[in-house]
Amino acid sequence: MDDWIAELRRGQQEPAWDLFLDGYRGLLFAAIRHYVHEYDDVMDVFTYVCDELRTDDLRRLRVYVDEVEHRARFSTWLVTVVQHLTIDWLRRRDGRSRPSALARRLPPLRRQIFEGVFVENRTHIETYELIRARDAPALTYREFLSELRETYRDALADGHVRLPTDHNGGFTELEIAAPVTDTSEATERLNEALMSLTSEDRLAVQLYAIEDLPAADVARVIGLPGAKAVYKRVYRALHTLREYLARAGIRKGDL
Amino acid sequence: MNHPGSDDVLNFARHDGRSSPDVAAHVQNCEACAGEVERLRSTIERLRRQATPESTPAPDCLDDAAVAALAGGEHLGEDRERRLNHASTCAYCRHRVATVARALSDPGVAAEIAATKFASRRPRLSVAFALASAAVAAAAVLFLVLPPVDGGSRGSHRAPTAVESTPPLIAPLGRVIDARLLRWGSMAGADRYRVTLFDTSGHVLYEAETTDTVISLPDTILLTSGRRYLWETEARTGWDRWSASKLAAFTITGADRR
Repeated sequence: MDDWIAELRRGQQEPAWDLFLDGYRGLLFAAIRHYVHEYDDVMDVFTYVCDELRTDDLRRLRVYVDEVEHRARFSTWLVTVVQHLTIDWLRRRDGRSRPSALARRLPPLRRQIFEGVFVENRTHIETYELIRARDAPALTYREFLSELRETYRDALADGHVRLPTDHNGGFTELEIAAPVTDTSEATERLNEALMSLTSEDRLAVQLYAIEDLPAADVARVIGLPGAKAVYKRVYRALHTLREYLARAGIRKGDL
Repeated sequence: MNHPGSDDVLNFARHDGRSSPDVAAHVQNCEACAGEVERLRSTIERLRRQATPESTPAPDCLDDAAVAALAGGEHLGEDRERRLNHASTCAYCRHRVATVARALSDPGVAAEIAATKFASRRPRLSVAFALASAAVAAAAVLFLVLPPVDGGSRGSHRAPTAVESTPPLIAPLGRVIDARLLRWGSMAGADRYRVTLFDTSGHVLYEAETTDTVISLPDTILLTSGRRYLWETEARTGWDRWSASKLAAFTITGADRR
């Protein structure tokens, strides 16, 4: 048993915290640096994470320790808690994002581009660096540019984008006048098609195609032996979806 | 005709046909593969357009431990099916699982997790001995994580391990007098490099592939003094597997280069 857990079980919160921090400081910083990169931000998030973990006599740590059967390894759980708290910290600092109707419909990468360029007023390069650092380390600038062009095209095709003009007053709301198109039936058919898959296949195809997660990571989440097995499943699932939609009379462009 | 494997075709379709010149070249000349890529691409595009992320959790959403179990592939209990089913129908939880899974694959995070596992197996020792053990543990982690280095000593700092998997850009960087040559460091396992030069509006000014780690810009490329340029290098580490460097910028301070 770890020393800090023994101290915690003896009710010795301070020594338990010191021992915990000695053992996991490196992991806390590494997990925080995965999401934020500026030195000051890293230190602020670290302080916030520590404050939250110490709250109520180390309540979060005690809840984990007191579980009869741990559902996840402590280090994996800790990385998840750090993700949660880092997002909290970012929302507190930047305000909760309220994606527009268009942003909600965009694929994840284009949504991030949309938010970076239009909502946060970042330059294209800043947006690229931010996305690459946070979520897509393998994203090339060429790929980013292609997605950027698509994002502009989506924004313009979908209605009109009123770009922020008052830089001093801060950005209030990005107005997208989205024409209401009747795609509800097609969307419903796609949902039905997805629900016709097993939960494993559905999650595999979503993680791979929508979240853009590398196949090796998808394999770990789903519990498959490796990337090859993921490719096989996703390939088969996409084929099933396509067949289902074709039978339902949904064609390219209906969604 | 030797067709690419289904995994390469799928990857090609997922990335909308970019960054895969080998598959792209094949698809251009193969009607069957081109049709398959288009079918996969349109289905993926439908899924992406339909995906609606939730910004707030619902009461029945997965808690931190359940997200951790899924992301870490540690979900062997009775609730496994329920968690998988929830994540496959809840965009908020699915995105959290994906985000944590990505973090767990971050080399910096993975190295720290390995180090904590090593440390937690250690018996309680005197402070001096514990410090020595920690050094050995760190060395062990470095040994496991660092790629082999030819003819040089291993670095003592752990951070660079995370960036060894991309080709390091050497020059030009920042303000330079001339930028006739683009130079980068070699990467273990790479047999080919692709270098791309952009202007700041994102237009590709020059692109070339080479087995060398330096390339000379042709005279037809005009670089204007005072203007900023961007470049990146991708290293091929397998059949249609490319690893991109960071994006670098430089500005010519001398006379225009013709």
